[in-house]
Amino acid sequence: VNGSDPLDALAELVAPFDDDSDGWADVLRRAHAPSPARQPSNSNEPLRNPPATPPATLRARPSRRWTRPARWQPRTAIALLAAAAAVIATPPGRAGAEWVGHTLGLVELGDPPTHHRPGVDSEPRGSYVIATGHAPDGGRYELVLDRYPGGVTIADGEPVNGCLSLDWPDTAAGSFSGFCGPGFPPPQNGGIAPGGAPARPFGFLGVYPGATRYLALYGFTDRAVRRVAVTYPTADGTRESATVDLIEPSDQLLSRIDSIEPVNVFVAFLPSSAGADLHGSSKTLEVVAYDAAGRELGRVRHENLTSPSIHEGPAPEPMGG
Amino acid sequence: MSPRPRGEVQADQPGATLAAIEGIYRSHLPEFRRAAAAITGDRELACDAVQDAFACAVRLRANFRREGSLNGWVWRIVVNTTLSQTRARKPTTPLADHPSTSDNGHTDAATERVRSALARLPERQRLILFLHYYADLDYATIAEAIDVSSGTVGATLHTARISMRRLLEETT
Repeated sequence: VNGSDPLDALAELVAPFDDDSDGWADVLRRAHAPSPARQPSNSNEPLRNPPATPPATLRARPSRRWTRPARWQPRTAIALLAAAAAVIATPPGRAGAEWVGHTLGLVELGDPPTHHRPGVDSEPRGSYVIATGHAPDGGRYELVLDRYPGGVTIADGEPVNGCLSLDWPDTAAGSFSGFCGPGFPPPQNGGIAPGGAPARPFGFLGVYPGATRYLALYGFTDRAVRRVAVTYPTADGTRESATVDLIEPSDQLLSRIDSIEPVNVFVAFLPSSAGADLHGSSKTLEVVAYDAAGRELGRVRHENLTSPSIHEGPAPEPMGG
Repeated sequence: MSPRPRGEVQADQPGATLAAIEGIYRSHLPEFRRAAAAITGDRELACDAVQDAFACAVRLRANFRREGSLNGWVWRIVVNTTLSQTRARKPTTPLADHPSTSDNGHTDAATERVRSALARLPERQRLILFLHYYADLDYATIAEAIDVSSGTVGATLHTARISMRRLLEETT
């Protein structure tokens, strides 16, 4: 803008601000401040025992009683069914049906995720929901595997061909970035797998603001595992158990996603009090695997999950199994 | 399992690091505040909105997917937060509608003409003008901030300038 530009007058409308950047601490305080939507009703009272996921019957949407109008004839119903089948047979019809299914939360394992997400540097060659369920406070999640068969290079320069992320399709928060690795399930260092820990977490304990007030951790187990317990320490020195979903993808799905080994998937939900200070002291989680008879198959300890220092920290320690 | 499984994208990859967001905050805070003040018409509200926006960016930094610049992503949050807070405030007093008062307390005729002209521009044109003149953002960053293409930014800015000049000439 040269000196004669009448738009120079714009500069006079808003006086410049001083270069005062001392407010960063205030930013962090606001970022971590509890909000009514993300905090237990009494913030001094940790949710020691997360409420169990309500029974499906309680969570189900109330169904409308569907009665046939008196004027309907069987011939009319047959015609409508035929028309519906014809519509669904078309690509737009299938898309519409898929949209309806996703809207109602009817996505099934192996389906594409409800919402398309941009990939890592390139579009994924396939996206699959490998686990789905609800957080204890009701939010529906989809654990999504994005596959890049040709491999993509991520920020640290290593090629990966699979990325996992936990999506919350019914919330504005939507998708969160996740973790990538070569192959599926992601290989683990330290000689833990295969034949090592029967249940092992992958990635870090995640926060999903706007989606759930719980922290979530996901991972994989051997097929023999029938129950996973994730325990966390509390302020009084005891340990509490997180709510854990254990999902068994079908062999067909595992084949479709080129799973290196047959695995189950678990998603654990910890109350926010378990990791209240995301950049604070270490938190040690234990992931314990049990078989169908309730016998412990092994456990791993996962430390510093909530701290950025995890990147340089020690490996989760196998404890047996 | 390694704490950082081989090839794993760290929590900040492809998300943004806290340090990177802090760097943007410390480097460009005056520009953020000035653009927000233009949108809100209230310097105090602008400062508050920028703080809230950065808090939001900190919380959601894992969502940043590196499709554009981090700077643009942060600007988008700041713009959206500021617009949201401005609209939530009753009554709204965006710059274009705000009575002009200079430092000595007197309304300046020239700035009042500019303000009046701004008030007659469509919101997008106003927003792009603000981001261009008060934050000195390039087209690409403005495009990321308001989720349009760079071409749209250029065209809109061109149109806005022409409109402003025409409106200012009309009132001269």
